Amino acid sequence: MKNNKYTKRVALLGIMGALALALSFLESLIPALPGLPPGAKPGLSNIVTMFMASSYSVADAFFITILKALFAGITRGSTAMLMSASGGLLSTAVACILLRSKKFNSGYIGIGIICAVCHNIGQLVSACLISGTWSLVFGYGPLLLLFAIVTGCVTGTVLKLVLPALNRIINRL
Amino acid sequence: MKKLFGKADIFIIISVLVLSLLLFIPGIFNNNNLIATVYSDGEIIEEINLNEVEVPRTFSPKDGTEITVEKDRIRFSAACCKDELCIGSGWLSKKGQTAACLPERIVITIKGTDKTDMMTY
Amino acid sequence: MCRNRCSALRNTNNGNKLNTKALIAVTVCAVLLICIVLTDLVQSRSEYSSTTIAMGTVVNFRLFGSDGEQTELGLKENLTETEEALLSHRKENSDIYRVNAASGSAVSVSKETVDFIATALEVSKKCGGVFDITVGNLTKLWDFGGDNQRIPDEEEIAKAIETVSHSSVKITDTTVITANGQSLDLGAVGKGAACDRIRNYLSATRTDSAVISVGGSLLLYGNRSFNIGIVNPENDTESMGTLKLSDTCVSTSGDYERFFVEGDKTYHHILNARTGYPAESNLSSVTVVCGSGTLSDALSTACFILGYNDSLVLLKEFDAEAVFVFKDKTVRVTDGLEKKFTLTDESFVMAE
Repeated sequence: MKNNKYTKRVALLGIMGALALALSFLESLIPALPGLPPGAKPGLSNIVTMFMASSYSVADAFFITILKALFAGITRGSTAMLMSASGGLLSTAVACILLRSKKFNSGYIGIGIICAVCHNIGQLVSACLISGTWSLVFGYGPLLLLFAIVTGCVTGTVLKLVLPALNRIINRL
Repeated sequence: MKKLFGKADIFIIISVLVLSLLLFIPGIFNNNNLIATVYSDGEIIEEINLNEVEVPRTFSPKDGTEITVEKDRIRFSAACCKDELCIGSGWLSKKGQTAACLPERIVITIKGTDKTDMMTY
Repeated sequence: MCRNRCSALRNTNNGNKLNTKALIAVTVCAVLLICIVLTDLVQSRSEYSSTTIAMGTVVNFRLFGSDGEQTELGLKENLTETEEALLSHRKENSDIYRVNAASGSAVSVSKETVDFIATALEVSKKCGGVFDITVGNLTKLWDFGGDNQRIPDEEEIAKAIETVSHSSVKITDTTVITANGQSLDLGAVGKGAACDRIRNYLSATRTDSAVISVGGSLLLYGNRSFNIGIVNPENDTESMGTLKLSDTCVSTSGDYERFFVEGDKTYHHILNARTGYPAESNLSSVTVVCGSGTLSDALSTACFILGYNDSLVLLKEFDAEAVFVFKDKTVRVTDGLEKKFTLTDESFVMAE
């Protein structure tokens, strides 16, 4: 029985990990948007970590975040890994708190936006640390936040739509 | 199960918008940073905020060419060409200043303008 | 009580279900729209500046308008083309290279090259030949900034000067004929000519205004007015005065640009085509402002050689204005620029 539980977990992590990697690969094909720093992406793979955070375990949400960062490190170098890790860990942490909190009564769009904002803040801070120029905050910050609203809406809405389907997968496993 | 969108979400959107506007304001007024851009063959290879350089450093974009950065200023410190015109340009410390090493196709400029938009020489 | 309120809440929720969905749709659309408008606004209002090396010199772009990045790429191409197809005396297929290689016979060249040469010849004629584009053999002797820069023997100079004669260059609409052994040097007009070509290119782009420096020769494009710094002859990273100008071309010639010292004498690169030696002048630099880049470039060189008094006549002929900086750190400005010129370095004074 216990064995079965672990099998389930491994299988789910495999599916979700693959999904997250596929999504981040798809995103890396999107060219840099004007006014935004190179590497600013819609953050579609956040959907996966947000789902893991809300319906499965917090630990596994972080596992996928780290997997994503390692993938970025292998495919796009150590700077990309650091950016992915800093943004991902912050936004996953916030997603875990918000999605699991009963008191926090905003909808998925709001949570999506906050996660996207946290993701961008994490990346911006690490970009500032790497380059040593804190003026990046003012140069890129405003547009990144506006961008986060858009991507947050998208990820929140998609999460809400696919959540029933994903939950069914978990239940059937 | 949480809903998709509620009053709290409007509040979140508005606060993020306000935050981004707040960040815009210092961006408009705080344009006094000295940003040095180093080009090699027309490509930007380094952007340095000279105001934030604490420890002086020297780097070499191409063999034989060295650029030295200190707080608020930047210069060519070694070149492989004979005339060494680029070193003769001395320290760059004001907006709009440019030094170039033509044989190596390396250019340093400090973007922005003090009082002049462009120099004629 | 509580239950009632709860059910009432639920009812309103249900009742508002459609509204909520509509609200989401509207908000998402609005946010998207704001972002699109904002990025477009930022882009179109934004300035695109960059620095590159082209035509063997430093080129600074400051473009105002849309598609800055794309325009810059086009401009770089345009400059390379100016050098490789028209003006270079090293690239084998350029017009000038072919004219020099076939001196004595007619060479068919592009309309643009004919125009540049015609403009330069016009200036040569009006300034009494002190500025001349047929000085190729002479500049090769001195080779300023090259590997063999030196003071040539008097004999060599006398021999080279025999080939200097703007009146023996004949042009038609599509051909150039130089005298046998003659060699053209368009170094004094090349950067200005590039400015003129750039202006033609910019008019086909979405650029509202621009200021572009091709090695110190400037093109001011569009209605926006720019503060142009005139370099301090004693310190090439500082300016000594500014000109507020729009929609024109500016060129400066000075003895500080390229020179070498031998013995106790300084030899600068602006050669008097009549004597074959660097122009003896009490000027440090001349900045000429006029509508044509080629003309302003040619005139600044000619005026530097001529000196202040003779320059005034020449400038009037071509309807150009100028700022003269003398070696004694006095400054003179022609009437048309008086209101536009501001002295910024206190160590210089306006001449009475």
